[in-house]
Amino acid sequence: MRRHSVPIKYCGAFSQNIKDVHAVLKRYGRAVRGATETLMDSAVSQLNVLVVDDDDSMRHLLCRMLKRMNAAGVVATASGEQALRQLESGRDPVDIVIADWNMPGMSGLELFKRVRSAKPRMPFLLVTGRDDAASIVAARTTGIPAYVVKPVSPQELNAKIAFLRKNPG
Amino acid sequence: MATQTINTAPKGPPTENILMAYVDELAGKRAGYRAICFHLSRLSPLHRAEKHVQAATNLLMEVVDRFGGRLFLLRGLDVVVVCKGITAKAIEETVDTVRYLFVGEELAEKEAEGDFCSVFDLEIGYPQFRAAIRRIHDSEAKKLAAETRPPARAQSLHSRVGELIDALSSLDLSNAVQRQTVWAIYAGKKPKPKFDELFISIDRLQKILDGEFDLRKDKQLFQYLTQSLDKYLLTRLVWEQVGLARPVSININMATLHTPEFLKFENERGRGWRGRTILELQMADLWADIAEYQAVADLVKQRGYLRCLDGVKHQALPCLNFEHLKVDLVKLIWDEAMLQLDQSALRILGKAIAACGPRRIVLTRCGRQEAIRFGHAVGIHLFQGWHLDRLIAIE
Repeated sequence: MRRHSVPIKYCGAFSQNIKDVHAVLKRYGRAVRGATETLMDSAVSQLNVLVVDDDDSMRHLLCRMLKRMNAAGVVATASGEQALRQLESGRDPVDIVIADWNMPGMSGLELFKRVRSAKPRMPFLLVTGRDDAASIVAARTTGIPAYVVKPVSPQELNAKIAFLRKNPG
Repeated sequence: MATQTINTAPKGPPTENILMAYVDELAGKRAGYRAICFHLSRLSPLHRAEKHVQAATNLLMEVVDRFGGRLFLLRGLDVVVVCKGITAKAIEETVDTVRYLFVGEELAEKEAEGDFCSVFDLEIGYPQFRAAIRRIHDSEAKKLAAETRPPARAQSLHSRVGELIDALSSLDLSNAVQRQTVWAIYAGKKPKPKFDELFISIDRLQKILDGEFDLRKDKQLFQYLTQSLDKYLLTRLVWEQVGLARPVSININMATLHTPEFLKFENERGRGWRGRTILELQMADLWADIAEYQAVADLVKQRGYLRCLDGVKHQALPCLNFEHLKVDLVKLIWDEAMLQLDQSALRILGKAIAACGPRRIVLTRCGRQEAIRFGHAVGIHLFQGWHLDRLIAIE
């Protein structure tokens, strides 16, 4: 009964030369790398970071990012309990803790409370897949100074660490 | 015929249009309403990633649920929340929690009002709020227009559509609106009317236009017009004159469902009317954007409308999974060629009809008695067409 057919759609410049596209991507890649490297030096360099995550791949990824960002030292543990022992032992200096929320045994939130009771000015970054309202509010009310929803980019990590350096909480 | 005019302001993206219409609606009932506009579009690209916007909207949806408000995620990623009865303390708490998500971003750390977000008490600040939303709307409309500017060849057609729409806005189109009934016909029983389809007849419209535009010849012009005609049906038709003895179906472009006119139609028709309204979505719209079609199918169902897929040819019927397409009714076009189908083709068609559910299929454009016979042979009992109208009028 109807009286019209497919709406006419306008597709943009389809025929752009593929070489041009590659050239743009190359330039973009260089610009991003340049910007990242400049940024990286500003926040994490000279910091000793403790990474706490039970997920091997995530822990390795964070460590690699931090090393590429010129962190002075990166120590990693797979649980909150190990992290506390690491902090208490004083074997390696720690200037900032980056922890996952969901871990078997001690959660990231619990770890934060324990770390803060021992070291009240220790900067703490919570990295989590939780993006629901209740989790965000819970983290904030617990006093977690900075919160990152996974996946994490080096730029974002750098921005949060820069914030924590100024505002350890 | 109602005298209100269709809004001729430049059209923005769908959400901006709906927000603008909602803001206009609030003009008469501002008491107790407060709005927060989060300028996420001003954040650095780093914080404009989907996950950030998702987390922010998750937070704000909780507030919206708590205070029975509304949330609009705009095209530029600004988020507008409007709530009635939200306290200043709750607003402060909400703003601080959203800021918390973006710590490390210079803009979020600025305390000054207006940088990261703007808060409006609509009782006193409605004009400022409306102006702010208007600015966002117009800016996004401009960007959208620049992105979708048609090629030079189509410009002349667009200008002709513009002229045609202008011509239509001054005319009373109620005479062009036609009604055709869908009948349930069972052998040996009196036909029962099930619902009426309302549509604008191209022939009658041509007569009203009095030769100024040749719609029969220029189908493309008519296609461009369909959205305007949808809006006419939604906003300018005096529905009370149409009569509402039976449920009604209307043809609608998917794009029309995102317009302020549809919102207005919804508000004015009321909830009780929705269960008696069938929205006929076009098969062509489905092919054009199946993801959008499915989203729209869900949306209209949630709002209580029945969904009908219109314009299905017999060749296409076996290719469609109707559960997946989320339709309540299917309009199968009668085609004389159906009488020539061999046994295997008939078996395939019969299976497709059985899979869809014969009670959900309407055989349309039934121009002669053979169509009814054929329908009965394959299990169809709902029919529509001029042949039936004539037959039943004679009886």
